Amino acid sequence: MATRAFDYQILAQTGRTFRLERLPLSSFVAPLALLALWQLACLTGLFPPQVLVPPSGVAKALADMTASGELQRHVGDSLQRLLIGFVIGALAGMAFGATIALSQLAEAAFSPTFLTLWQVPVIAFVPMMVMFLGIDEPFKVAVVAIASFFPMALATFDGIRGVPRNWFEVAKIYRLRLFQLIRRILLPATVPAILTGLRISLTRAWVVLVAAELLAADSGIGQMMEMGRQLFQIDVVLAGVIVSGLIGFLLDRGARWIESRASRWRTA
Amino acid sequence: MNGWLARFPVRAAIGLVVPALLILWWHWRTSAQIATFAPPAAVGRALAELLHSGDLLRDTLSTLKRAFAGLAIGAPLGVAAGVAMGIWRPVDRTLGPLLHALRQVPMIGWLPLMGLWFGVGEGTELIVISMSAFFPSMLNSHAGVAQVERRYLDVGSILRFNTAQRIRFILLPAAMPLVLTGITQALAFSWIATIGTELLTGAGSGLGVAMSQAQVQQRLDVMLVVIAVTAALGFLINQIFRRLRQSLLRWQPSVQ
Amino acid sequence: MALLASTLIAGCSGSGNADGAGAVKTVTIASIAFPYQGKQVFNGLNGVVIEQGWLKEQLAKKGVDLVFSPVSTAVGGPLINEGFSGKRIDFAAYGDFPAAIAVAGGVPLKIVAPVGQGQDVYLVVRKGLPANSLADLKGKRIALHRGRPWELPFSKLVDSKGLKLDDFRIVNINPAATPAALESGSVDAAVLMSDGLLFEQKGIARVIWSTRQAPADWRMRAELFGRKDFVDVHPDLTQIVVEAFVRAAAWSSDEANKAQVIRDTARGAMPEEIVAKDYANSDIPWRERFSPIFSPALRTHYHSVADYALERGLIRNKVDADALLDDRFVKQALKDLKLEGFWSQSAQEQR
Repeated sequence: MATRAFDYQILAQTGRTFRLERLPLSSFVAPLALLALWQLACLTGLFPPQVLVPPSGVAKALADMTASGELQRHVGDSLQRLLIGFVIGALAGMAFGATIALSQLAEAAFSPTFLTLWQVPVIAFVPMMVMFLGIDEPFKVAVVAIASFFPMALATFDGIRGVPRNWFEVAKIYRLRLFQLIRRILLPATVPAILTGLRISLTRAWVVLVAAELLAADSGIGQMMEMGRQLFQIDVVLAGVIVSGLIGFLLDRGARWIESRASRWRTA
Repeated sequence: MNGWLARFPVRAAIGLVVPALLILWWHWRTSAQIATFAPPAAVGRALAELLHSGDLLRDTLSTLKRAFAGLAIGAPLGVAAGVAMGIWRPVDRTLGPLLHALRQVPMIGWLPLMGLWFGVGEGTELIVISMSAFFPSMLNSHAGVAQVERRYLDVGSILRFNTAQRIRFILLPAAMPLVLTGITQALAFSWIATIGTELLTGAGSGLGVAMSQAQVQQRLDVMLVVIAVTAALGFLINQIFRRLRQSLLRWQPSVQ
Repeated sequence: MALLASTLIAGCSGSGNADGAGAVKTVTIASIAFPYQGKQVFNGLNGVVIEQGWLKEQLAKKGVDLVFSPVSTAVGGPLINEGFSGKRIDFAAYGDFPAAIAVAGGVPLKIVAPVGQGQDVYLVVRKGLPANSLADLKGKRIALHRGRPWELPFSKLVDSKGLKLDDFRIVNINPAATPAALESGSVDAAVLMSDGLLFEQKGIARVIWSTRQAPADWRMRAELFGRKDFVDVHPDLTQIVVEAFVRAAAWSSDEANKAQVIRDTARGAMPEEIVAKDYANSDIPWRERFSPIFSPALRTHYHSVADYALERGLIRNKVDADALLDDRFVKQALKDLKLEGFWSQSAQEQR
């Protein structure tokens, strides 16, 4: 991709320098202080409860929704959409990325269209997708798939293009067939880039999914927030912010953990 | 490199094949009786109509203004936070994890809360856009400062630099590539957030507003025009920033 | 975080200013607005008030600015409630149910000027669905934007047929996304305002029920609501605002202006003939359509809204409907404008 619009490597680097494996005690200071401040602000009446619900109120809303099973239903629906869409989008992205990385002709033919489409925020496709796919599951799965397709395709492309040329020449000398080339050389060499791509796709897809659910859905964590807003239940909205942030954080941490395991395995 | 493929006209021609096929397929689909699908000609007419009425220009300018205003607020704050976290370990240790959790909240999820706290209109949108510009610039600046080589800092202590001098003469120049990367990313994020907030709040003018209106009026042609404009602008802005980045970092041999 | 905290403080201190009993610099009225020829236009009485310019003039004499804050129809109620809660708006012309939600959520409001006799709500089914009654829709998917004023009439309809909301799959989407959902078949039916008639005209859907077939008090209502703190502290300014709306109502109630009213209501929202058809559907005499009278039926309506929403768990606290009504401003305005007897006192019963 001669005119790459956006440096992928950099995206991949983002946050890699952060060591979150061991959380020191001090990392709890800020959240706890914030919580205390928040509760205090509510207790002193600085902010009326209809503007800022105290943490205890949010905790109660979370407990109530858990007890009624509502929270689990919304989270479950969202995660299911995420999983299906992500598998479809990531696989398609990998295949597409590999194709344009391996074939110059394919790159020349597809990359301009790809790069132009990539400039459109996925959320901008939502109204049009609602028109075609309705508001059912296919729509939400498609949103997730599109959101994960692009970063995955770029990561795969970069990973394969990052393989030194002489490795291919070695492969040619040994007359490796395409399948063997993929298994013996491409796969091991591109694992780090692909894992990073998977992590970025996953977290990106989550953000986009919640946004799409806010716009049109009948269930899911985004819809829970939207409903809370319509019924002026700020505690529910805040609970949604916290739960969606927590899930995003856990997805990111989980993917990072797999990444670090894989790179350890690779260097071993 | 296959020589003939690297030549620009050839590449451009091949690159146009796929869009052309798409348009053909699209035209065929619409003539084959699918009611909701707007044919390419209708999109062309919608474009002409929007250009003529000046709506498109107005919406585009509003969106650009919002995106850049958000960037102008969020990115400097993000760089400052990132640098602070990179220099002072306690800041990093205490604020880092919190910021990382906050970062994972979908930006658009903040919208209802922001609406409640800051009201309808520009203010709320600007805060959400600034926040989405804040995180990438913070992350990259932090990474940039954290990776500055020890020996540069040693030189600083030999010269008895104070903190301000240390930031000014050692940390910032060394971290510059990543800081700029962060700002480029912040731009992309604020662009996405602008369209997203416009779609969700849908008041005033802007490309996202135009899109949500097109949805109400069932105007697929208008929707496609807006999407095309969004794509073209995003592409253009990113290109400009890349060039800018390259020329700003000329002095650094390691970059590109 | 610092960003969030500082903006939060800035935002709250900013809103704090509006609270003081001292000099008010601006009066802010929020209402649904529609994009029309590149501008946000206000329909109904708000549009007339702006057009007449009387309110702006009167407020300017007191050194107070008038701001009309536009809210898009897709987000409607929630945005206005959030504005009331943050004390950024003082008045809003909006629906009965969102206002009840705000009051239940701890944002005291008052009805300072009623508007007319309510609006009809329609139940439509997608093209090709052979349903003719609500019972036929059992187990089907119905688009209903939750928390909006048309939820209550629908809920009452469901109850009256001995059914429950759980008998249907309720899909919470805004009216903007509804036509696409109907067309793609991802919902089978939808509860709407006059958009329902528009979709019927476009051939996307078919109306199978409207509040016309129900008791008059089922119709959804929208009025001019004021923030209680503001109304209590600034009765003088409230009086001016209410008088402006009564003037606008009187102008709109004149049969001679009917065509103009319909034309303005249609601006940016929907075709004129749909507005006319919606108006005709309800059988309300033109004179009474914008009546600002606090009729007994109004009181009953808000009692019913409050009880109903609480019973259905849509609001968590009881709303005191009597405390909601504040008729002194309209009474005074009618006296000042010599319009006593212009509107009938119990127009709601006429059908």
